[in-house]
Amino acid sequence: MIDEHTLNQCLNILLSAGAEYADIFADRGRFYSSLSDDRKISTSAHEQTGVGIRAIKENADYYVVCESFNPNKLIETARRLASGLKLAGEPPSVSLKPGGIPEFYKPQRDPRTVPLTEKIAMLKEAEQYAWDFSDKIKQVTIHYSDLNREIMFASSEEQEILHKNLALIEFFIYVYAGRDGDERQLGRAGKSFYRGWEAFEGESSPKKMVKEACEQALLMLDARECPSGEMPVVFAPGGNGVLFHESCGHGMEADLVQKGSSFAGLMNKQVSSDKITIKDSGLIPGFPGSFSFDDEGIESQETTLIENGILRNYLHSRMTARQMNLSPTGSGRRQSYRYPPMPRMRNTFIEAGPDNPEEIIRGTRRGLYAADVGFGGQVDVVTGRFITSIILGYMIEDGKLTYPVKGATITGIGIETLKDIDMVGNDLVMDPSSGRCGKGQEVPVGVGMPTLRVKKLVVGGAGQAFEGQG
Amino acid sequence: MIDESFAQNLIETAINCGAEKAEAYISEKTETEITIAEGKPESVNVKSDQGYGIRVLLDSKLGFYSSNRLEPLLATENIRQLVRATGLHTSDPFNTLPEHLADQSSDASEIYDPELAQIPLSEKIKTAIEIEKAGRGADSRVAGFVWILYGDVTESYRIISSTGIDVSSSGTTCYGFAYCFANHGEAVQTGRFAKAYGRYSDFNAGEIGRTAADYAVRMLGARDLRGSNMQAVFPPEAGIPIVHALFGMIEADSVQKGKSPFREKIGKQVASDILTLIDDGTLADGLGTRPYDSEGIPTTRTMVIENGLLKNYLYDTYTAKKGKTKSTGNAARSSYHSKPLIFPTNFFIKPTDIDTNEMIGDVEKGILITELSGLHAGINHATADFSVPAKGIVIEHGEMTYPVDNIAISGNLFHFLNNISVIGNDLEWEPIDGMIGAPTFKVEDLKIIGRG
Repeated sequence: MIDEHTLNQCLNILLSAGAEYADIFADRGRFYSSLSDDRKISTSAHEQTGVGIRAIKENADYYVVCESFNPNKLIETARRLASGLKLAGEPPSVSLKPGGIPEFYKPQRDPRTVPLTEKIAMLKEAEQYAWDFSDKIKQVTIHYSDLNREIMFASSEEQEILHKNLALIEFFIYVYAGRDGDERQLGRAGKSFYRGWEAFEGESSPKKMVKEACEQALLMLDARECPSGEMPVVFAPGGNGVLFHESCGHGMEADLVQKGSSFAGLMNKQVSSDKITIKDSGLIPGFPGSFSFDDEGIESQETTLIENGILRNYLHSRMTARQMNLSPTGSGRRQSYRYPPMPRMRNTFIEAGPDNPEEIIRGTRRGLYAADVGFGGQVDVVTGRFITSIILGYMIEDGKLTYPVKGATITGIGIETLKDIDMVGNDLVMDPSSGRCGKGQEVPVGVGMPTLRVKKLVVGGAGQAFEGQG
Repeated sequence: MIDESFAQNLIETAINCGAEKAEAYISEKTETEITIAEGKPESVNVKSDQGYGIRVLLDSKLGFYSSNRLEPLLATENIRQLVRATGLHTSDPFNTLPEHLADQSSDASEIYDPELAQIPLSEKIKTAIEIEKAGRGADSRVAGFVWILYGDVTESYRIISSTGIDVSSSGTTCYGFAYCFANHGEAVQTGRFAKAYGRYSDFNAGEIGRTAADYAVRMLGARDLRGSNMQAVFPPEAGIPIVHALFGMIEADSVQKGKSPFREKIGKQVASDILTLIDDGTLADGLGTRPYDSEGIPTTRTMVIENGLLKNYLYDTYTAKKGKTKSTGNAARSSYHSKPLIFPTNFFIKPTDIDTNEMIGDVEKGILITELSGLHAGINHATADFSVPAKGIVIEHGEMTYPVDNIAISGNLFHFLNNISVIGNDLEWEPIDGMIGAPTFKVEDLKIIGRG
């Protein structure tokens, strides 16, 4: 994409201007998407190519973008950034060599080679399957996309030129079920992977995802209004991990810790029940938060955030690691060349615990079973205060799942909720369905969790006031 | 700017490849964002981009491709592929590209500040630092800032189509944001404030820093409240999120897809007869004002709710054709790589001449709502029932007394709108997807849930 000589020259311009660190992130992105909405199929495509040039000086991040790989334009952009840094220092120099981090993405069938007709046929088949599923299915929206980004990276620190390919496939389905005149009930399913077209075989076949969404929507047609009040909530394993990603995970990203998040100042202290271990990994094959090296050249790794209830690590970018005198954790990510990296989650999960999931439900006299939280809510990532509606829930009565409930919202504070977890199942499920996480810029992430119980959460619903205890 | 012949070539190529109609949107944008921590720059980010988005129509199918790669040969090949891919779509009789109409001119003008481009980065960094200084200086209980942001955008775009449209516009915006926390003993409270300005010389760092500080400090010492029904006063910072939520329910796409509680309610009473809700893309000096929308349609002033009656939804060309009406000029694109979607221009509750202080002075026992959170998750779009966490300040005998936390407002949106009894004169704006505006208003008999 860019020759070694030009990269050397750009980095040297910045170092000579007093940068303590400099890097170059070149990104050639191609995006394809197709949509089936209201029985109509359409597609769109997009290309975006450019280079982000960055310098760190006195703990400030200086960032400029050049939308061309042309050497003259790149050098001119580096000079413009250097002039912003002003101070002239010792003239150090870099001399780049090829880096050794191996490629992570190994598709059997690259989606770019799949003919458009085949992609559309897959979508049509999935759509038809949804409409045929029941005459109560009133609306179907399916979104497919594949993106491919070739990335080239060089920094003044390791002085290596690295390459990686990020190729994400996403498939999401939303169906609305209804009876005549009735309100519409949503059912949804979907996944995203760093894998080839073979991702759609077996467990993750489009039909399977469509079936899951349709069943959920139909079930909700018979749901009653959820009672409101404080009650025990049992969370189903897997995708519900998004709630903990939002309300706790962000608070352990080092930049937000510096901003005074609810996890600040608690290192090596008890922050939850000792049944809780939370990890964030960039190494799970095919998962949306996995890669060979992060977006500032640090090799991918797994980070233990909370170990048996004790806070052990935060997630660091190069910048926060420099500021806090620690090592980066391979968590520096960016949406594209247009954005400087910041600490981000990858695949965040709560480890399996000691309890039998059936026992957890059996041991709950009355409460709510949250089958699918599907975070459609709002969270203050610093305080961890959240509100979200639950897409699919059931009431638990006398230790058994009973009728489905709708209209439930849950509110709480992440770190308080962690402390209120009293049972953790031995059934960890990893889920690549959470899609993209936004923090001023979007990156794909995965989540996971076992069945677990929170002793009490505030549940809002239109049903009558909740009575009785777990 | 990308030259005109490049755009003309895109359209010609599309037509030669078999498109019936084609439209090119070309844009150039420069953005600056500066964040501050502890009196020093934390990040300085300058990005410029230029690119194009092209829409082609054939056989009632609409295709879209966008790129920032401006090599003519590559563009030609990609447009050939676009036309081929579009042929595989499902026909939709409402797909269309707008035609140039003889009366298609606009008097509205977008705010463009030529001075912005001349302001050096170092000057903007100083301005950003001023926000923090003003906030810290406002009150001794201000403990710090989570975010301090200065940003500006300069954007020019041009739309050319085979159907005779050729419009262009340039605009500038500067904006600031402060997220403050204050403490007093153990208690910590936060306050947020964002504001946008059309010109750099209007940018008021002091206003942003001080307001965020005031919002945090005024909540210190918050107590619990015993829930009951009472009068509630919504200042602009609490009313604006409600107006924004209303936009999502009266834009034609959500109505036509049956997702809006306002569907099939045109001509019906949906609010108190003192409420008038307007979207005005032609508003003089409005930051959401522009001569044409992102499809080249002249912007308009649309009465959405007039004296409590639902008058109009807001449309782009697609939903207008489907709804057998005209576009209201509400199509917008966040950049060249976005398809046009329906967004607010200047969307606001029409103010009156009633003083806010007078409105509070008349409250015997009530509450000033200072913050709402998660409104989007808290409203059921099918039934319009809502339950939303909030904070506030109790009003007794016309005086503001103590702050309260851990409350929620609850009810039905239509009852809420019908119970609006007074609207004030202090219209304020916030940039959320467009410009959203509200003056202070009072709601009778609102259910406040508390845990006191």
